[in-house]
Amino acid sequence: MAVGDLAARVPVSRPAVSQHLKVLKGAGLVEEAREGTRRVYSVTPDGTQPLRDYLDQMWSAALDRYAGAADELTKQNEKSRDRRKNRTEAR
Amino acid sequence: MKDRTAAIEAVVKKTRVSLGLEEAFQLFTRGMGQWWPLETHSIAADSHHGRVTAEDLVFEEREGGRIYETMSDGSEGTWGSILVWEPPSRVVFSWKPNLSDGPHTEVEVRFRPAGDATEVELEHRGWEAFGEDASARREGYDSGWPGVLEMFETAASL
Repeated sequence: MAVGDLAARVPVSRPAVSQHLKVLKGAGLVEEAREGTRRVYSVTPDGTQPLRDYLDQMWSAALDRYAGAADELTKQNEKSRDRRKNRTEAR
Repeated sequence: MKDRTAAIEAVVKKTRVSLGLEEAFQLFTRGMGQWWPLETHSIAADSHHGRVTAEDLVFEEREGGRIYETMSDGSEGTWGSILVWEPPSRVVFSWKPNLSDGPHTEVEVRFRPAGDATEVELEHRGWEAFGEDASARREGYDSGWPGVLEMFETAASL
């Protein structure tokens, strides 16, 4: 779809349409091709890539939290082991 | 044109925790509510914009069991269900922690002993369903432009 056709369909000026398309292109959501002097935009075929990137980050964050919770549990286990050991030695 | 039914690469993540195999498995499954970042990744965070918050995440430890969040208004939101339950080495569950129309994807988590520690490998896959759905929507609605136009209008109104 050309910039002019897009601008006709939304309540936004043509330069603003171009600006936003630049952003969408940067995000990998649309692709740009030139036809003579016109720029024609189309939706990127693999629209799942941004979602994949998002999930990659989400799982990194989630697994960091999981590893943190595991560290906490390890510390608690060590403490209760020490307590048990101290009790045994005190006897 | 690209073949959209071709397998889309899964998201694979690894971590190593200083827990024994059974404890690592339990913390991941039964203990999911203790570490999952509910404040940013939950149905409540996604759709209620702070009015309702996610309070806990319940992981039902059996095949066919649910994974669901409980919210501050007393409601529940189901994320998925347990497809394979093989404690303490493997669990597979369906996954959609939001209210979108999108299909469920699939998450498999494998646990392997490594000395006193445990290696955890997570695979998030099943993007084919999403790809087919996305391409079906694209063909059905004027090559996907309405979706982009919607985003565009949102961006333009900011």
